Amino acid sequence: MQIEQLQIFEIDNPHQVSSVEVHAQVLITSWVVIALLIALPVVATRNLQTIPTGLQNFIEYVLEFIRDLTRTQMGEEEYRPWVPFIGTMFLSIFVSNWSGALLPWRVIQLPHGELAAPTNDINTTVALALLTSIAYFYAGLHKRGFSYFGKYIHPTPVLLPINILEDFTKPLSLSFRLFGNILADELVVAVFVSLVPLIVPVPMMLLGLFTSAIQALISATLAAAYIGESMEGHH
Amino acid sequence: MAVIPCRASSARSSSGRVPAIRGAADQKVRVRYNCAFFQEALQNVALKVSQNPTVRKAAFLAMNTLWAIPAIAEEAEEKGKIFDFNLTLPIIVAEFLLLMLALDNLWFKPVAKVMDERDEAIRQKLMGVRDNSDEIKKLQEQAEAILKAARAETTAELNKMRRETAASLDAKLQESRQRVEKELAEALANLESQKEETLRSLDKQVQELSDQIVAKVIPF
Repeated sequence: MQIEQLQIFEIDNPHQVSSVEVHAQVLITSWVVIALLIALPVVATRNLQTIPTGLQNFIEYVLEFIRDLTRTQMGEEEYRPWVPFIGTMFLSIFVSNWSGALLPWRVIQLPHGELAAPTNDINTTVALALLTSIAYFYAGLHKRGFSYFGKYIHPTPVLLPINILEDFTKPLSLSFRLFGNILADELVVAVFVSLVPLIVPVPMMLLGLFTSAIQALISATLAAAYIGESMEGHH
Repeated sequence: MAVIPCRASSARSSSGRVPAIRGAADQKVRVRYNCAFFQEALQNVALKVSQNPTVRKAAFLAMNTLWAIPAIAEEAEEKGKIFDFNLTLPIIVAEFLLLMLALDNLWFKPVAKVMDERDEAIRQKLMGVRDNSDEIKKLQEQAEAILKAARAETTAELNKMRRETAASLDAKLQESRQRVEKELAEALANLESQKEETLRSLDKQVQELSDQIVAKVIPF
């Protein structure tokens, strides 16, 4: 079976055929990431105790980190409902990036294309950015109703076009920041490995681990910041 | 992607409204098949216009470009576009939302519950400790009061005892003094009486002596 580009033919009428593609390598790696992210809490919450040890300590630390991140951006009163969203954003991007860098995907040979981090595909990063956009719109509308649209003329009405533009540049920058970082890192490491496979790529790989972790943090922080900004009302 | 309604592809679509998953190779075959049909039609048109030289040249150019288009379409099938948006995007959105639900129920809610319970328990214990310090202060005051009372009691007792012993001592002293005085008085009285007696005896003796002396001196 050819995996890289699976094409799904939907046949609507005998005279017209449209086909839709799917990047199956992204789906496969994202399923692996989801499996990792679900296996960890299932194993760790098996025996929750008041005095934590080992794995429970780790997952509590992660939850505390995510809560702190969300609370810093959104304020004490309103951060609670958004912890799952920001947490999933941070964890999925983090585990995706690190799985792309650490897991030996090249061992699995595909006939077309290759397995890598799911975030090196524009579809994934744009999907996450669109979700963030929808989330902050929803947050603003839910909290302030239609007066949310007053924020477009908020400092002065002269800034209206810029504020509207911001609604497009926010998801654009979110998606391209993540996409560019991860894809570029993978390409550079691939080039180094093809040139000098032994020691030289390792600093680049370590840098890649560091920057991909930072990118996860930045994506989550910015998402929380946008949501907080749209909920906070007039200064 | 080239979508050409033609009889050649109806053979594949005759299987009805069924989505079928095929590989990239089949897509290439289908496009080439459409290309063949198209090229036949073009060649018929070319034969008809080949009489006129300028039209022939134009037709020649048009044919070349028209032949090139399916070839470009063919190449486009295997392109490695970077900005290749397709069905993956909504699938990732759906996966993210499902992952969010799963993580919320498996990780965030249980762990948050344990952490919040722990915070609550610690806060309760701290509040309890603060109350105990008040009680301790009360107990301390009580202890001090008891101590003070006890101390006062003992001093009072001591004083009383002191006074009593002093009084008894005084009484004894008085008694002995009186005894001594009485004895002294008796002794004095004794002495007086003895003195009187001796005086009297002396008087008698003096009288006797004087009588003797007179008798001796005055011889009669």
